Amino acid sequence: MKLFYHCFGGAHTSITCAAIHLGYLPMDRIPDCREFIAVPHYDKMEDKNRGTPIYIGRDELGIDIYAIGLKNACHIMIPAIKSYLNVNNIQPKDILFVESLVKLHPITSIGGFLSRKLNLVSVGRPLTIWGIRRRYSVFVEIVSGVKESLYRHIGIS
Amino acid sequence: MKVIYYGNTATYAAYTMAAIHIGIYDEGKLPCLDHILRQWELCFIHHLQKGNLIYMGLDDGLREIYVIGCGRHGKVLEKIYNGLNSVYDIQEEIQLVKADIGEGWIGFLISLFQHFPSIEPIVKKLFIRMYKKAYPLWCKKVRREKEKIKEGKKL
Repeated sequence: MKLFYHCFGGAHTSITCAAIHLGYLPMDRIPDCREFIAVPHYDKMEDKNRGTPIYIGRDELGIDIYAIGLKNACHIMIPAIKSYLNVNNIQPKDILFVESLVKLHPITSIGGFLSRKLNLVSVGRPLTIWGIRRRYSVFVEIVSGVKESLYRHIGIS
Repeated sequence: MKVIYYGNTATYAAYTMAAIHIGIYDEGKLPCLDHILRQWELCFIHHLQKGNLIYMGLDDGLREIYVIGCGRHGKVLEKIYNGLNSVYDIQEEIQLVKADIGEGWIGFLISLFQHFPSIEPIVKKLFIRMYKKAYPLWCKKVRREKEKIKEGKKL
């Protein structure tokens, strides 16, 4: 089974959720800036590669975790992915999508724009981390919910 | 090999180009008026249907031809499909063809018709005129894409 956390650019919020899911980031406290910077692929997705699924790792249930940027078109892209898999004889039921677009402070979006669009990483990246840290509990909540339903679905308590 | 024609909607340029590619429509010869009007109905009814890969048929080289409407997110779609090929180890090649010629007008015509249903004859006339204008360009692009595919096969 494969699980895709998706957001707008595939650089920040989806990576954060995937990192929490795989234990790169803690669930019981707010991580500091260095921990964010140490997360693989955090704030790395280039604008021209948006849409490419990024493999983040495999969780304790054996599910492959990916992050992907679908812009603001997940309502089009998710059926497009499923129908593509369908024509290639791959069961779409083995693929899960979790929206990780959390409403963040506008400063975070500005940070993402500066870092990814204008390549001003040293200015933009700290702003994205600041914004995500402010709403970190929401990300933890999303991942907890996902894990809970996965455990229930797969039948492990 | 799969050839996917994608456009803002699946029902206008993408559909016509795929139909030309597989030979439903003749290259260089306009479809009859009845077919054009039926396509107007198709556009009007299904223009909002996006994100579904629709199978059109096989071409002369037994390649599968599909159409998909993806709004203005064609670039992202290309990345996704190429990425999925590596994620799922799909060996079959895909060729994505942008079908955007004349697409800008169709949305305008549909919304015009939705707001003023009484002007249907005018809207239909406009549709036919635009279709006739775009058809040679669609044929040209399909020809170019077919050549590209053949050249790729030789390499």
